[in-house]
Amino acid sequence: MPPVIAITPGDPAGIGPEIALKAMIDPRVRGALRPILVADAALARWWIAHLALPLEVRPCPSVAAAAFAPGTVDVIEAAPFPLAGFAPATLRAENGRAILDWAGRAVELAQAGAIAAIVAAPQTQKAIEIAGIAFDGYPGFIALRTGTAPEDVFLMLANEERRIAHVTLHVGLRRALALIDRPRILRCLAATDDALRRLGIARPRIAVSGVNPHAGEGGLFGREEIETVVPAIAAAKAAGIGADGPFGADIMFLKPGYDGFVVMIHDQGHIPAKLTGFDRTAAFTIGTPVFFASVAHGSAYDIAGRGIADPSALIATLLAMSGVSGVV
Amino acid sequence: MTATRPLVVTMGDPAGIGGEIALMAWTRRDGATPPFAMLDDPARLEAIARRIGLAVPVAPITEVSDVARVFPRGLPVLPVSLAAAVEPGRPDPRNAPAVIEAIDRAIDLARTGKIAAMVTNPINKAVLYAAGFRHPGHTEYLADRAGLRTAPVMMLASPALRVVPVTIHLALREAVGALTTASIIHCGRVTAAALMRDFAIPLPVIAVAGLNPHAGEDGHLGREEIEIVAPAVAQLRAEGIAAHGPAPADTLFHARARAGYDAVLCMYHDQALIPLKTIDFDSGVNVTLGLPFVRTSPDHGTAYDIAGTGRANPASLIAAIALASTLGAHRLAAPALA
Repeated sequence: MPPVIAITPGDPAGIGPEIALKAMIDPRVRGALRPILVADAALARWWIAHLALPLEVRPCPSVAAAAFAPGTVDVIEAAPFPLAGFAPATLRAENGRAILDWAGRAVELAQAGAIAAIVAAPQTQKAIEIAGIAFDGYPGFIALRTGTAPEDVFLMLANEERRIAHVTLHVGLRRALALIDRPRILRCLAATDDALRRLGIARPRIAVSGVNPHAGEGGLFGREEIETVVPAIAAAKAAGIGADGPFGADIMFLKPGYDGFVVMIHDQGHIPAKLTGFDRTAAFTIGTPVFFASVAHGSAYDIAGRGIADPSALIATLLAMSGVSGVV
Repeated sequence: MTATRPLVVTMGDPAGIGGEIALMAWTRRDGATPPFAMLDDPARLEAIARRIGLAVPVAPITEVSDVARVFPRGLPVLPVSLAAAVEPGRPDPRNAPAVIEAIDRAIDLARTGKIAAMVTNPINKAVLYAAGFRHPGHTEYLADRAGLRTAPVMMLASPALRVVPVTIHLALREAVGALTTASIIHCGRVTAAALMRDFAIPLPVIAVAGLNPHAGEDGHLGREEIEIVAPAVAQLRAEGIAAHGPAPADTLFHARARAGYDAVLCMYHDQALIPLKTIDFDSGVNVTLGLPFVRTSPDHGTAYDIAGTGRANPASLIAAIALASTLGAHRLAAPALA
């Protein structure tokens, strides 16, 4: 049986609900997985009517009750969503709260083993902020909800060109340099290996960057490679992970034959990931028991509610997470 | 008349790939290739041509003014004699004086206005140190010989992107410590002047990257943007330079963003080199800004591991020669600067 994958709509007032619904009726998606929407049934009906989509909403008390029938959207609900006063492209604290209610409910389902993975449509940071909720991205949120130590959770950006996991992320460069140590690199390598296997790659090959220019050039420009990165790679290899490096981050991304790359700091990975634009990139939270990804584009208030949003990034992410596609 | 000034290409480390990529550059010449002469040992160039199976007539000349006439039929060479036989991949300190002589003669030709620009092949500093070379590197040597009082600035240029790393070959930890407002201002001034004079861009726009992720996000992810980078941008703008930033580095390099500026000041090596090499691995050229003459070099090293095999890729040297010609012509046409 194809895996059950939950979709959360992200900001209900953005393009998230529209691309989620469009993805759920996509024949490739329906062929590769069994999608279920974790949201509010009334909200789903509102969007289906607004977009005149040929779909019926079927609220399900549990995943086991889902029918996955053509023309229906199986919905698992969380806290009640106040539809009064709702309009596309409008910021509301209720919307911010709902984004994380739905994501949290999906995490519970994944932890209970009812679903195989979660894909989140774009959230709006500002909506979460005005709801008074501290949120610095899904990796931290998933860590909190799964009881995973924050230092065990990593971000992997993936698009058609490459997949890049980050040993450190949203911290200042000085702080990042202090955080990079052998155990952390090894944890990131293990999380990357695990994620690539879940994406259907039997024996992942991973290229690892250095911290310094030219990966330190034998200690000439810094000793982190000798003292930290090289031993971490050796430990990963001993654990059966196909890791190579460290390579200078500037010459690494065109190396052929690698399924994934691991970099030490935010910009080493985000610069190449965004070179060809960002719209078709997926952001995987890796290192937690829950297999989670969000699309990297925004909730696009400028076109929300107009029926012209492109679901292709969400569809590509769903297909990759079902293990049928080697690319994303 | 100025447009006919030729280029010279220095020997570089004769045990490296410099000779063979120059021979390849000559064989791949077309009507648009600017005439250039090697400052090198003719006998060793003939030997390497035979070794890698290239039919290149090596043509020793005595005057640089002969380059244009000779170039269509053979590779013009201003002879520099090596002290020891060359074995590719095996550097020999006995040849260090010839390596330096080639650079010195290029400087003299440039300073006397006999050439439009120089292109330098890669050297190996360790070998030169062993022979008594006392400068940190190639660029510092050129700056010192040119009587420069301020540090030259390195730009990496490809058809798609120009980047200027403010800190370069330093451990990242040291680069963070070495970054100052003054160093960013200096790089910004030199870059703006070079874009105007050598690249013939009348009103250059310079993007300035932040140091931290998201350019520090208003101080939440580091304070260097507030304390170091922003004041430098403000000063450059006060001087009439169209500098913008500090900007998050990760959104600076996609095609739409690149259309909005002429060069990016980057705060550390990888921030500059990752986009340059990932967009276009082979065509990056190193340009030294701030010298009294135009100097470019290929963006790679001596590559001892493949020297003498003919497997080296001449793309970066070919791009360095083409860019040197363009920049040299612009500089000759530009009004003289103080």
